[in-house]
Amino acid sequence: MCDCNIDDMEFIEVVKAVESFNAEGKDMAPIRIAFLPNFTINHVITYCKFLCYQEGLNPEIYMGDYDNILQEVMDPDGSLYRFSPDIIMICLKMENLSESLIMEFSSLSTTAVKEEADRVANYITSVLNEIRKNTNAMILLNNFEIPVFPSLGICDYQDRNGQVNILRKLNDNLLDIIKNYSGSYIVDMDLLKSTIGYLHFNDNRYWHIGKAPLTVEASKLIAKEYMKFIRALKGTGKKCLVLDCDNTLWGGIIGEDGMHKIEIGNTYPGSAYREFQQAILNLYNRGVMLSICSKNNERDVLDVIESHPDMVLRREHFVSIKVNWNDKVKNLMEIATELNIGLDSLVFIDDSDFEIECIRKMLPEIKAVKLPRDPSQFRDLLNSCGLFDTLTVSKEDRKRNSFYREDMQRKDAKTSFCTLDDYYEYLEMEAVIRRADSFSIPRIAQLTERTNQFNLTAKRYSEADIKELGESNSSQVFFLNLKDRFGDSGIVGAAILKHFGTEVLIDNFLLSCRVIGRGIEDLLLKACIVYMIERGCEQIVGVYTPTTKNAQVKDFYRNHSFVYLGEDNGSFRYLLPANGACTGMPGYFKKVTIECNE
Amino acid sequence: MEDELKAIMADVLNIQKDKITYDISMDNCDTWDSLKHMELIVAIEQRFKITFTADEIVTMTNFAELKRLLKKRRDVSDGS
Repeated sequence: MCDCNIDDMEFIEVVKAVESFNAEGKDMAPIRIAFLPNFTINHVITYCKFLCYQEGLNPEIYMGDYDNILQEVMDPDGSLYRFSPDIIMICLKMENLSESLIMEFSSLSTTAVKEEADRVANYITSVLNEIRKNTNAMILLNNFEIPVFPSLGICDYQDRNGQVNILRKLNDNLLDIIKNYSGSYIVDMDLLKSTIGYLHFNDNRYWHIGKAPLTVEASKLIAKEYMKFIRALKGTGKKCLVLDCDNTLWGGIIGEDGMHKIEIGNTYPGSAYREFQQAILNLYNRGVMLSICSKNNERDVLDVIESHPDMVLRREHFVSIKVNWNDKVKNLMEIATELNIGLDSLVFIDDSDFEIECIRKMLPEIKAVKLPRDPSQFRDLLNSCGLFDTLTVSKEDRKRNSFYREDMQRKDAKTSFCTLDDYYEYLEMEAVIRRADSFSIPRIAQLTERTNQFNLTAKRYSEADIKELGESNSSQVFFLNLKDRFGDSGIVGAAILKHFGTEVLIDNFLLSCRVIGRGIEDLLLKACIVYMIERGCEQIVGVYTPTTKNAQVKDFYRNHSFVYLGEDNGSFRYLLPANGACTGMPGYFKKVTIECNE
Repeated sequence: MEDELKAIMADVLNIQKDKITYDISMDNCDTWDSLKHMELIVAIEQRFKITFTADEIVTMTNFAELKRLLKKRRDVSDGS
């Protein structure tokens, strides 16, 4: 799929690209998307397909019956559920849901308005309810566009009971509704409409001709927003932002202009660079790691970062600073290795055409973003790119950058010990293993989506999946929380177990790459074994499904005394009988708490 | 202009450019359904930077009308 930016393409080029694309022979992850619209959304689907193909995803699309959503989601044997969607998009236009709220608002009494609004809310609740009875697919629900020419004119929006505020209240209500259905999210159509404005979002001609009110521009915007959710679901959100310095973090070239002439501050153009830095800091606070990769004398750059009074970003915000005269390709590869993340988790921002083209050619897995000529556009570019979006910002996310600093301290400490066991004992690690609960579910789901290396089967679970598995009698989900003398790392491991008769199956077993190599997996495995014994089962089966990234765990079960059973459809199965299963664990942990039961 | 119009139609309707005859329409072309018609109008409006009215959109269901209305729009915008 071409690397062209969708914003530079004519609609017809996108249509052609999608129609001629052949996924055969390409290693593309499948994704099954069901659209349930009550109006015509075909252009949105065209753009969704294009964006999916660009990111290495192969989408299968299901289009619901036009404006028959409730019937369709109520049919457990119907084609929607047989399609097995990963994601369900619910696209509702208020005009088709409650014509009176949009077209006849001024003729309705306050009571009638309230009744209509309640009816809409109940309809949506019913739809979500029916969906969750039948599937744990992620649900994306569009909220409602607020009319820009309100029913009662200028006095409409003075009043809480005016059309504008009634609909705003309804939208607000949607947030409360979705809270009851895990794995469901609002897509803010009204906010998207504001980005380009109603006049560019809405096409009245096609609304009347084909019930297709979205312009091509609106369709593109909505598809891009859907893509942010898809990336978050698939765990392909980026983890580290690497930045150039000159004409990126500040205006000018430090080596030539010197500390006093570079532009960063409260007046033009320095204010644009300052806002850009503030947007970058915002990402830092969300758990994105920041690095620098700049061709400069290291001291010059560090002087700015450490002492320029108007800098927003400081030394402590960066996990890696590569300032030298080497090739940026080499530096970027080092950054990925140091952080133990794939190249495909990096975003590289630079103002130079040359550097960007070079990275695109040499390290195509990295997302290389070229800054526009005008620094006043930098902030919006970063805030709208959607490359770092996650479905939730967990405690672990917010602390990720301080986790990294703590890891550096751990690495430094390691050098003063002769044996690893002495070092591990020095760490004073305390592990707690518990069953998943409402607080831990989002982080556990996120872990299954983002962890690639120490991940035995690479099975991904949504929040709704984890909740269901945790609540069922025939399955269980454990998480492992780790802290040591340097800090609390939060939830860093999870095991998903299924119970069949006398056998327990480890459906997936994973550990954050940051805590590999300290025997922590032994503790989690022990919890699984305890679960097996307490359930009175006779054996526990572990599965290893090879992926391009998890080769390091291929012998995990073998190394823990499991017996190899054989291959099954590309996966390798191992068995440990309850009889004689060793529940020992390394002695260097300061404290281990395993709470398998209620 | 006619050539560009034919190229756009060929792309959207998935037919060969030289098969686009004067009498081709939604009635006699298999691939030209209402969704494709929407795509066709969008493509023409984007390429020629013009806007059609709803009425024009519903009557432009054959090559002759497409050409006529496109020319009309183009003449108007070139004139100003």
